Amino acid sequence: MTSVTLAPTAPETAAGPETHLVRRYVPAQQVIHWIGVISFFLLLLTGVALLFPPLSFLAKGGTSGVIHRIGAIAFILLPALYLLRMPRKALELVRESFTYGREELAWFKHMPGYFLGSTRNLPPQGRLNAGQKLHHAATFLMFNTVTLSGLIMWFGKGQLGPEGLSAVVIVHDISMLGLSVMMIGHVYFTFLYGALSGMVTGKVSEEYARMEHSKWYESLQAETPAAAEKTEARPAE
Amino acid sequence: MLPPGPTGKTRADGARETFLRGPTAIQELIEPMVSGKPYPIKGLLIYGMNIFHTLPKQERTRQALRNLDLVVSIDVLPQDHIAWSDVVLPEATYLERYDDVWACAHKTPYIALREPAIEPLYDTKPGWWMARELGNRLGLEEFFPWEGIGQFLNRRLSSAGLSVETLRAQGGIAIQPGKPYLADFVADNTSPFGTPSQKIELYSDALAKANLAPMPNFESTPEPPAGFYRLIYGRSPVHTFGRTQNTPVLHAHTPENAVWINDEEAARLGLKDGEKVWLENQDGARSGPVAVKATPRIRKDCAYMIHGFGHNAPGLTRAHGRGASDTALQTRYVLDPISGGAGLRVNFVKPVRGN
Amino acid sequence: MPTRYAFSIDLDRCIGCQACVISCQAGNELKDDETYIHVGEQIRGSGKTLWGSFDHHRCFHCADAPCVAACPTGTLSKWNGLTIVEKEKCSACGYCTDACPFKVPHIVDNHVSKCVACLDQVKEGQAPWCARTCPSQAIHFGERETILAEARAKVAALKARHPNAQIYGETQLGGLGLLMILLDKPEVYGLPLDPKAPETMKVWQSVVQPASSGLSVLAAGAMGLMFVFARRQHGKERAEHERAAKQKAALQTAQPKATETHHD
Repeated sequence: MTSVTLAPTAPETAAGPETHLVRRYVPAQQVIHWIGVISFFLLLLTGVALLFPPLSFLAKGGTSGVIHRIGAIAFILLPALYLLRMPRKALELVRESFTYGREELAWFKHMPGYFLGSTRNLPPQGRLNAGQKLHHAATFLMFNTVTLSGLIMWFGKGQLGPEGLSAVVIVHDISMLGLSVMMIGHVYFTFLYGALSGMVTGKVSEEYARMEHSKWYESLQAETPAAAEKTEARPAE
Repeated sequence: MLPPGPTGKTRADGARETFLRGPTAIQELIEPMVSGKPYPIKGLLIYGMNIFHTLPKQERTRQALRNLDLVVSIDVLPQDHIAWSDVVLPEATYLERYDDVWACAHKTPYIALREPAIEPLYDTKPGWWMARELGNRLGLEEFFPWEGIGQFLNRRLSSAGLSVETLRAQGGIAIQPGKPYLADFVADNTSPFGTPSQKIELYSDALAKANLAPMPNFESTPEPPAGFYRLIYGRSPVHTFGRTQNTPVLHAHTPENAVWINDEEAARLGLKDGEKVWLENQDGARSGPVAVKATPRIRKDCAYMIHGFGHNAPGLTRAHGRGASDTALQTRYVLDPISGGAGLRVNFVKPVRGN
Repeated sequence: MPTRYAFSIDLDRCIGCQACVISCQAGNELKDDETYIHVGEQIRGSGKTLWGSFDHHRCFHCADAPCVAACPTGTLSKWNGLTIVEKEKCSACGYCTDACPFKVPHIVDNHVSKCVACLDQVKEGQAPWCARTCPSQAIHFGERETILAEARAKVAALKARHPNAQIYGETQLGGLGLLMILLDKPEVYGLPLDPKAPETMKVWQSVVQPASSGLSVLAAGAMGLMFVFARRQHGKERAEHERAAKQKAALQTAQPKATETHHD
C-alpha cells in the first residue's frame, strides 16, 4: 500500500506542484473495475451479434452463447465481489450515488458545459460529482434489470411463450442500451478529463484532483501525513 | 392325411395324434426333448428363432435345452438363448448376405432377388455358406454341387428364364403372370380351394371325418380368477416381435413395453399411470418390473402387453432388462386340435408391487 | 413463379404406426433420440363412447412464422411456403423455442431442430420422406392449392361420421403450410383457435431492436464528435489552471509564513 504524496514543501523547485500523484483507487477496486470492463464487452459483443443482423455471423455454432454466459457470471458476481472485499466502501458507493441535494442540482445546471469540456464554472466537487452519481445510480438500476431479464432468458428458455419472450427481451435490450450509452459517456469523460490513470495505476495527477474534485483533494490534505499513512487515505470510489 | 415318416413312427410333434395336420408344431417338440417320447430328440439347431420369447412354458424349454446333447444356434443377434448353446454360428444380417430368391405365389406372383448391400462388417457368415460347409463336412457334397451362391441362384432362376444379372437389371423383381380372379381358375376347370367340394366350405366334411367339429362351435373358456386379469399380448408398429428391441433408433423410440390395465380398474387398485409393478400369473410365474399404462382402451377383465420385451441377454446391451416378457407368464397353453397351433391367451395375471 | 408448397395430414387415415417419425429420422440422418415428428394417441370418452385417433406434433410451416421473425441470425426463413432451416447459421439462442405458438422447435446439439420439409428431396422434385413412407397415405405434399382442395373434399366426406371434422390451418398465421384434417374441434387437440404473434413481439422486432442499434451508434458518434471540441476547451482550462497555480506559488514564495499555515 503506497503512501499519499502531499503537496511539495519546496515550491521554488523547477517541478511544479502539478506533477505529483494522488491515490484515487486501491488495487482491489482497479481489479474489479477491469473485470467489469472485460465482462461487459464480452456481453456486449456477443449480445450485439443477436441484435444487429450484419454481425449475426459471429453467433454461428453457439460459441458466442457460451461466451455470453461466462461473461454474465463474471458480470453478475461483481457487486458481490466488491461487497465481500470492501463492504463499507461498497455500501457507501450505493448510498452516495442515490443521495442528491442542492449542490447536485447546481451541478446539473452546468451539465451541458461539462459535456463540452468546461468545469471552471462548477462549484467545488467532492469525491463523486453529480454526473458520476447519476451514472452509478443508472448503472446500478440497469445492472439489475439486465441481469434479471438475462437470467430469465437463460433458465426459462422454452417456457416463456411468445409474450414472455418478447417482454423479457425488450427489458434486456433496453437495459443494455442504457448501459452501453452510460459506458460510452463514461469512456468519453474519462478521456476528456484525463482520469484513466486512476484505474490503471490507481493514482491521478494532482492537477486533475484539484480541477475536478477539489473538495475531495482538500479533505485529503486535511489529514496529517501519519494518519494518511495508517488509513486507506480515503480513496474515491 | 400325411403318410408316416421313414421310420414308420409318428411325428415327434404329435401330428395326427394330438392335432390333425399342419406344419411342425414347434412347441410340441419340447416334450420329446425332455421325456424321450414318442422318440428321443438329442440335438437341436435353432436358426433365427427367439426360443425364449416364442415358446410358452419357459421352464420346460430350459429343461429341454439342458437335456439335449447338442444345441447349435444360428442368429444375427445375441438373443436370450445364445447363452444356452453349445455352438453359436453368428450369421451375417440380410443387408450383408445373399439369400435364396423369394418366390411368392400370391395373386400377383413374383420372384425377388435378395442380395447384400455391403460386405459383412464383422466375423459373420451367410446361412447358405454355413449349410454348404456343414454339408461338405458331413459327407453330403453331392447335395452342394455349386461353388458360390451365384451359381446356385442362377441354376434356380434359369427355370424361370432368369439369372441373377437379368433379375438385378429389372430392379430385382420379376412379376409373373398370376391368376388373381376366380374366373381364371374356372376357365381352367381348376379351383384354388383344396376342399373336397372345391368350394369354400363353411361346413367341413373333412373335419367331421376326423371326429372334429365340422362347424366352429363356441366353447366357453375359463374366466380369470378373482383379482386376476386375462393376459393378452399384441404388437407395436415400431417393433417386430422380439427381435428389434435392441435396434438403436427403434429402442430410442420405444425402449420398454407397459402393461395396459383399464383406467377404472387401475384407480380401484390404487395404481398410477407409469408406476412400475411385477406381474404374477396363476401358477406363480413372475415377470417385471413393467410400467402400468392406465387406459380406457382395454377391457376391465384383461391386461395387455406388447410382446417381445424383457430380454435377458446381456449381449443386447440396449434391450437387456427393459420392459417385461409376456412369454415368461405363459406357463399354460391350449393346443388347437386342427392345426397344432398354441393358444397362449389362457393365462391370468395380477399386478403386484415390489419383487 | 415460385410455388407455394404445403403438407396435409388426414387424422382419419393415420394409424399411428410411427413410420413417418422413423423415416424422417433416417432421411434427415438424425440421432436416435432426435425427432422432428411426434405422433401421439388421442383418446376421448370411455366405455361405449370411447373413441380415439392419433395426433401429430410437428412444424406447421406458418406463412407468418413467428420463429422466422424472432430468429436473429437468419437460420429460419421461408422458402416457397415452407419454413426452412440453415443449421450452420444457428446460434442456439433458442428464441424460436419460445416464439412458436405450437412449441415445436427444440435446440439439439447447438442448432434448431424441427421439420425441414426434406428440402433436398423437394428440390429434386420428390416429396418429403414422411409423405413417401406413410403406409395409409395420410400425409400428402404438393402445391397448397391442390392440397387444400383435396383436404376440403376429405372433410366433406368425413362430416357424416365426424360432424366436427374440419381443416386446421386454412387461415391461421397467414395460412399454415401444414393443413391438418381434424376429426373434432381444435380445442380437443390442444390447438389454439387463432394463434397470433403478440404485440410485444412486433414492438421488439420493429421498434426496440432497430432503436437499440441506432441509438447506441448515434451516442457513440455524437460523443466522438463532441470530443474534439470538448478536449480543446478542457485544454484551455488546464492552461488557465496551471497559470493560476504558478501565480499562487510565486506569491507564496514571497510570503513563507502563509505557506506554512496553508500546509497544515
